Amino acid sequence: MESFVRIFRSLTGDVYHITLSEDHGVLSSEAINTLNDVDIVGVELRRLVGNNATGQEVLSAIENTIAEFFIEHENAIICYYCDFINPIPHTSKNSMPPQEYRSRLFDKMFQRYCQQHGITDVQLSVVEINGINEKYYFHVIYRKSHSSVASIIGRDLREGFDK
Amino acid sequence: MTNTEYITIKNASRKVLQRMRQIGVEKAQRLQEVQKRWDLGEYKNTEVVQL
Repeated sequence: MESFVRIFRSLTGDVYHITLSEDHGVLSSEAINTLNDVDIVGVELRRLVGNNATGQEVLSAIENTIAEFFIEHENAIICYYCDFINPIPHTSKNSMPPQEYRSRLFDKMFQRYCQQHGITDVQLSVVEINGINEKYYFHVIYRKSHSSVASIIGRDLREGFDK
Repeated sequence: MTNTEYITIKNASRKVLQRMRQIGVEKAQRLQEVQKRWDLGEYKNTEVVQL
Protein backbone atom coordinates (compact mmCIF):
# COMPACT_ATOMS: atom_id res chain seq x y z
CA MET A 1 0.00 0.00 0.00
CA GLU A 2 1.31 3.42 -0.95
CA SER A 3 1.56 6.12 1.68
CA PHE A 4 -0.96 8.91 1.35
CA VAL A 5 0.19 12.44 2.17
CA ARG A 6 -1.84 15.62 2.23
CA ILE A 7 -0.65 19.10 3.21
CA PHE A 8 -3.07 21.92 3.86
CA ARG A 9 -2.95 25.52 4.94
CA SER A 10 -5.52 26.90 7.38
CA LEU A 11 -7.29 30.25 7.13
CA THR A 12 -4.79 31.60 9.67
CA GLY A 13 -1.82 30.41 7.58
CA ASP A 14 -0.80 27.39 9.66
CA VAL A 15 0.36 24.40 7.61
CA TYR A 16 -0.58 20.82 8.55
CA HIS A 17 0.80 17.55 7.20
CA ILE A 18 -1.11 14.29 7.44
CA THR A 19 0.22 10.89 6.48
CA LEU A 20 -1.71 7.63 6.24
CA SER A 21 0.51 4.64 5.70
CA GLU A 22 0.72 0.94 6.39
CA ASP A 23 1.99 0.49 9.92
CA HIS A 24 2.37 -2.93 11.46
CA GLY A 25 4.93 -1.72 14.00
CA VAL A 26 2.35 -1.60 16.75
CA LEU A 27 1.56 -5.30 16.52
CA SER A 28 3.43 -8.45 17.45
CA SER A 29 4.49 -10.75 14.60
CA GLU A 30 1.95 -13.32 15.79
CA ALA A 31 -0.91 -10.84 15.36
CA ILE A 32 0.40 -9.69 11.97
CA ASN A 33 0.24 -13.29 10.75
CA THR A 34 -3.50 -13.43 11.50
CA LEU A 35 -4.41 -10.28 9.56
CA ASN A 36 -4.88 -11.98 6.17
CA ASP A 37 -5.77 -9.22 3.70
CA VAL A 38 -6.45 -6.51 6.29
CA ASP A 39 -4.13 -3.50 6.23
CA ILE A 40 -3.26 -1.69 9.44
CA VAL A 41 -2.90 1.98 8.59
CA GLY A 42 -1.30 4.49 10.92
CA VAL A 43 -2.23 8.19 11.03
CA GLU A 44 0.44 10.81 11.64
CA LEU A 45 -0.34 14.48 11.88
CA ARG A 46 2.13 17.32 12.21
CA ARG A 47 1.73 21.08 12.24
CA LEU A 48 4.62 22.34 10.13
CA VAL A 49 4.04 26.09 10.29
CA GLY A 50 2.26 28.36 12.74
CA ASN A 51 1.02 28.27 16.27
CA ASN A 52 -2.57 29.49 16.02
CA ALA A 53 -5.49 27.75 17.63
CA THR A 54 -6.66 24.93 15.36
CA GLY A 55 -9.85 26.01 13.63
CA GLN A 56 -12.91 24.01 12.75
CA GLU A 57 -11.96 24.02 9.06
CA VAL A 58 -8.72 22.20 9.92
CA LEU A 59 -10.48 19.58 12.03
CA SER A 60 -12.97 19.01 9.21
CA ALA A 61 -10.14 18.68 6.69
CA ILE A 62 -8.47 16.04 8.89
CA GLU A 63 -11.76 14.16 9.30
CA ASN A 64 -12.43 14.25 5.56
CA THR A 65 -8.91 13.12 4.67
CA ILE A 66 -9.09 10.09 6.96
CA ALA A 67 -12.65 9.28 5.84
CA GLU A 68 -11.78 9.49 2.13
CA PHE A 69 -8.83 7.17 2.64
CA PHE A 70 -10.88 4.74 4.70
CA ILE A 71 -13.69 4.62 2.12
CA GLU A 72 -11.22 4.01 -0.71
CA HIS A 73 -9.46 1.20 1.15
CA GLU A 74 -12.04 -1.40 2.07
CA ASN A 75 -9.54 -3.60 3.88
CA ALA A 76 -8.05 -0.87 6.00
CA ILE A 77 -8.18 -0.59 9.76
CA ILE A 78 -7.07 2.85 10.91
CA CYS A 79 -4.88 3.05 14.00
CA TYR A 80 -4.07 6.33 15.68
CA TYR A 81 -1.55 6.39 18.49
CA CYS A 82 -1.86 9.62 20.49
CA ASP A 83 1.50 11.37 20.68
CA PHE A 84 2.52 12.07 24.28
CA ILE A 85 5.76 13.92 23.51
CA ASN A 86 4.83 16.99 21.44
CA PRO A 87 2.85 19.52 23.52
CA ILE A 88 -0.48 21.02 22.49
CA PRO A 89 -0.15 24.77 21.83
CA HIS A 90 -2.40 27.08 23.84
CA THR A 91 -2.92 24.67 26.72
CA SER A 92 -1.74 25.39 30.25
CA LYS A 93 0.80 23.23 32.03
CA ASN A 94 -1.85 22.10 34.48
CA SER A 95 -4.30 20.91 31.87
CA MET A 96 -4.60 17.29 30.82
CA PRO A 97 -1.62 15.51 29.24
CA PRO A 98 -1.27 15.99 25.46
CA GLN A 99 -2.04 12.36 24.64
CA GLU A 100 -5.31 12.53 26.58
CA TYR A 101 -6.21 15.82 24.89
CA ARG A 102 -5.53 14.27 21.48
CA SER A 103 -7.52 11.18 22.39
CA ARG A 104 -10.59 13.16 23.46
CA LEU A 105 -10.40 15.41 20.42
CA PHE A 106 -10.00 12.50 17.99
CA ASP A 107 -12.96 10.74 19.60
CA LYS A 108 -15.13 13.86 19.29
CA MET A 109 -14.11 14.31 15.66
CA PHE A 110 -14.97 10.70 14.86
CA GLN A 111 -18.36 10.90 16.57
CA ARG A 112 -19.22 14.17 14.88
CA TYR A 113 -18.27 12.85 11.45
CA CYS A 114 -20.37 9.71 11.98
CA GLN A 115 -23.37 11.75 13.10
CA GLN A 116 -23.09 14.21 10.22
CA HIS A 117 -22.83 11.43 7.65
CA GLY A 118 -25.21 8.90 9.22
CA ILE A 119 -22.49 6.28 9.57
CA THR A 120 -23.46 3.27 11.67
CA ASP A 121 -21.29 0.45 10.36
CA VAL A 122 -17.94 1.88 11.46
CA GLN A 123 -16.66 1.62 15.01
CA LEU A 124 -13.97 3.36 17.03
CA SER A 125 -12.27 1.55 19.90
CA VAL A 126 -10.37 3.82 22.27
CA VAL A 127 -7.80 1.83 24.20
CA GLU A 128 -6.36 3.51 27.27
CA ILE A 129 -3.31 1.83 28.74
CA ASN A 130 -2.42 2.96 32.23
CA GLY A 131 1.32 3.22 32.67
CA ILE A 132 3.25 3.99 35.84
CA ASN A 133 3.79 7.70 35.15
CA GLU A 134 1.63 8.27 32.11
CA LYS A 135 -1.22 6.89 30.07
CA TYR A 136 -1.10 5.77 26.47
CA TYR A 137 -4.04 6.09 24.08
CA PHE A 138 -4.56 4.03 21.02
CA HIS A 139 -7.51 4.45 18.64
CA VAL A 140 -8.70 1.81 16.20
CA ILE A 141 -11.28 2.63 13.51
CA TYR A 142 -12.76 -0.37 11.76
CA ARG A 143 -15.76 -1.54 9.82
CA LYS A 144 -18.02 -3.76 11.88
CA SER A 145 -17.25 -6.54 9.40
CA HIS A 146 -13.67 -6.40 10.74
CA SER A 147 -14.67 -6.72 14.41
CA SER A 148 -12.77 -9.97 14.83
CA VAL A 149 -9.55 -8.35 13.58
CA ALA A 150 -10.08 -5.38 15.89
CA SER A 151 -10.40 -7.83 18.78
CA ILE A 152 -7.08 -9.40 17.80
CA ILE A 153 -5.48 -5.95 17.82
CA GLY A 154 -6.95 -5.18 21.24
CA ARG A 155 -5.73 -8.49 22.67
CA ASP A 156 -2.34 -7.95 21.09
CA LEU A 157 -1.98 -4.48 22.62
CA ARG A 158 -2.74 -6.03 26.02
CA GLU A 159 -0.53 -9.07 25.89
CA GLY A 160 1.16 -9.46 22.52
CA PHE A 161 4.52 -8.16 23.63
CA ASP A 162 4.61 -10.34 26.72
CA LYS A 163 5.25 -13.44 24.66
CA MET B 1 -26.13 6.15 19.38
CA THR B 2 -22.38 6.26 19.77
CA ASN B 3 -19.96 4.36 17.56
CA THR B 4 -17.24 4.45 20.19
CA GLU B 5 -16.25 1.85 22.76
CA TYR B 6 -13.76 2.54 25.54
CA ILE B 7 -11.34 -0.04 26.82
CA THR B 8 -9.04 0.55 29.78
CA ILE B 9 -6.04 -1.65 30.44
CA LYS B 10 -4.95 -1.17 34.03
CA ASN B 11 -2.54 -3.99 34.58
CA ALA B 12 -0.32 -3.93 31.52
CA SER B 13 3.01 -5.61 31.97
CA ARG B 14 6.27 -3.69 32.04
CA LYS B 15 7.09 -5.08 28.60
CA VAL B 16 3.83 -3.77 27.12
CA LEU B 17 4.37 -0.36 28.71
CA GLN B 18 7.92 -0.21 27.41
CA ARG B 19 6.65 -1.04 23.94
CA MET B 20 3.94 1.66 24.15
CA ARG B 21 6.53 4.23 25.15
CA GLN B 22 8.85 3.11 22.37
CA ILE B 23 6.04 3.45 19.78
CA GLY B 24 5.51 7.02 20.98
CA VAL B 25 9.19 7.89 20.78
CA GLU B 26 9.46 6.42 17.27
CA LYS B 27 6.37 8.34 16.16
CA ALA B 28 7.77 11.61 17.53
CA GLN B 29 11.01 10.97 15.62
CA ARG B 30 9.10 10.37 12.37
CA LEU B 31 7.18 13.62 12.90
CA GLN B 32 10.45 15.47 13.50
CA GLU B 33 11.74 14.01 10.24
CA VAL B 34 8.68 15.38 8.38
CA GLN B 35 9.40 18.79 9.88
CA LYS B 36 13.03 18.59 8.80
CA ARG B 37 12.03 17.69 5.24
CA TRP B 38 9.59 20.60 5.12
CA ASP B 39 12.25 22.99 6.44
CA LEU B 40 14.67 21.76 3.76
CA GLY B 41 12.09 22.44 1.05
CA GLU B 42 11.61 18.81 0.10
CA TYR B 43 7.83 19.24 -0.17
CA LYS B 44 8.03 22.14 -2.62
CA ASN B 45 6.53 19.98 -5.38
CA THR B 46 3.69 18.78 -3.16
CA GLU B 47 0.42 20.65 -3.45
CA VAL B 48 -0.56 22.63 -0.36
CA VAL B 49 -4.35 22.72 -0.19
CA GLN B 50 -5.69 26.09 0.93
CA LEU B 51 -8.70 25.59 3.22
